[in-house]
Amino acid sequence: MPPDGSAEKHAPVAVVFARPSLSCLIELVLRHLGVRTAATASATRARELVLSLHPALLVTDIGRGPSARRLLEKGSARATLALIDLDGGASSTTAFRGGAGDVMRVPFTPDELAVRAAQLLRRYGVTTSLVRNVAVQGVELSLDEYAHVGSRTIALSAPQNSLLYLLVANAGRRIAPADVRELCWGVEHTAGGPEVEGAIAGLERSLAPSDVLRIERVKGGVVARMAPA
Amino acid sequence: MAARDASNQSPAISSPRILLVIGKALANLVTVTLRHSNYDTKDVTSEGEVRRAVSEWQPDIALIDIDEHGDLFDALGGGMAKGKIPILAFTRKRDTAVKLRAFENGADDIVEVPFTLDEVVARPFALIRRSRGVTTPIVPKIRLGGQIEVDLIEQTVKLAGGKALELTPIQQTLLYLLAANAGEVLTREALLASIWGTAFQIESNVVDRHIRELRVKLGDDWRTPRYIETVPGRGYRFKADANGETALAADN
Repeated sequence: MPPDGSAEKHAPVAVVFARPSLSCLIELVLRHLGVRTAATASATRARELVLSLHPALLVTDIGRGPSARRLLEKGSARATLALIDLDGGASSTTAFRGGAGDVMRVPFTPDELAVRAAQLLRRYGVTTSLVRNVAVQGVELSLDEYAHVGSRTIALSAPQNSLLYLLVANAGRRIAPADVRELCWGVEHTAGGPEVEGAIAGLERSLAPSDVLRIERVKGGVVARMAPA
Repeated sequence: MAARDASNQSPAISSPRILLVIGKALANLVTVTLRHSNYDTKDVTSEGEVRRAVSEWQPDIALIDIDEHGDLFDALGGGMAKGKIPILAFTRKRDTAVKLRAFENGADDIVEVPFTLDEVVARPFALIRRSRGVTTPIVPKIRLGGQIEVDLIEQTVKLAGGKALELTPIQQTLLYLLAANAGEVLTREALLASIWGTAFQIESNVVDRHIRELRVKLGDDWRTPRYIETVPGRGYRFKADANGETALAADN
C-alpha cells in the first residue's frame, strides 16, 4: 500500500512480517487507522524494513519462528504486536515475556486488530484516527459487521465480516481453504470444510445480486475477483 | 518481596493481588486460571466493596466485566492513564464502540469473551509489568480434579498416567470453567454466557456438542461419569472429589 498523498507522507508506518494472505488482511485493516504499511514474508526483508523505515508499529507473526521472536526483542521504542496461533503451539504468555507490547491471537476480527493497534500506538505516543468504514472498489467495509454495496447496507455475522475482509484484502490471489478457516474462525477451531464453504456461499448470497465481488472456486482454494471501480 | 525472574531481567513479585469485579461463574474460572501465576484474588461486585478493596486491600490490578458491572468502572480509579491501578476489561459485545469507550473510560487492556485461558494469565502479567516494572512468575502446570494436568505454556492437557489430550482452546476453557465451579450445576445459559458470549442463541446445541466432545477426549462415560455429570433439565456439573472438596490443586 504505497503512500500517494501529502497527508499520507506523515502517516505512521507499520512493518508487517507474516505470510502473504495474513499480511494482506492486516494491511487492509490498518487502513482504518490511516497507517501506511510495508509487508513481507521474509525475515531478512523484515529486518531491513525495520532498519530503513523506523516504523511506529511492527506486527510480527510468531508462527514464523525464531526470527519473528527476535524482532520483538527489547531495545526498540517502537510498538510491537505479536500474532499468535494457539493451534501452532504459541502462547500469549511466551510472547509477552519475549518483549511484545501487545499480543493478538489468530484468527482475529478486523475491529480487534484496529482497536488494539490504535491503542498500542497511542501508548507509544502515536495518535491515529480510527475510521469505522473503508471503501475498496465499490465495497464499503465496516469494522461493525456490515458492508455497503451501492445503496444497500448488508448486515454480516462476525465470521462473514472477517471472511469479506480476507477476500477483499487478497482479491486476485488464491486463498487456501485452510487459510480461510484459520483466519476467519474465532476460537471455534472445529469449523471444518463444510462450514467454510457454507460461510462463503452465505456471503455470496448476502452480496447478491451485486457483482462487485465474485468468488471463484479454483483448485486448492478460492479467488475473489472485484469488479473494476 | 521482590525476587528475580530467571526468564528475563525484570524484578519479580511473588503474589500480586488481583481484584475481580466479575460475576460468580466467570470469576471462578478466572480465579482458577490465575493459579497459573500465583495471584491472590478478591471477588467483589458492589461499589462499596470495590472502593474499600481499592483503598484497603490495594490490588495490583483490577479485572472487570464491563457488560455486567460497567457502572463500577469509575470506582476503580481510571486506570494507568490516571496513575491508578491497571484495569483489564472483559466484554462479550462485538461493537467496536464498546471497546473504544472502554479504553476512553480508563481500561488499559481488553479481553473479549470468548477468551483463551492463556490470555487470562498473559494480559495481567503484561499489565503489571507495564504499571510496576515487575514480572509475576508463571506456573505452567496445574491440576484440575486431581487427575487432569494442564500445561498452559505447552498448551497440553494430560490425564493421570500421562495420556495427552488434544483439546481445542475452547474445550480447554470449558474444562476449566466446569472444574472451577466443581460441585455446582452450571446451566447451558451460564456456560454460553461465560465462554461464547451473546453471539450464540440459547437454543444452540453448541454447549452440548462441546461437552460431548470433551467427554470423548476425557474418556468419560456420561452414564457413569468420572468428571462431568449431566444434571437433567438443569445443566452440567464437574464432580467434586470424594471428600466433597473442589479437588483443585496447584502442581508446583
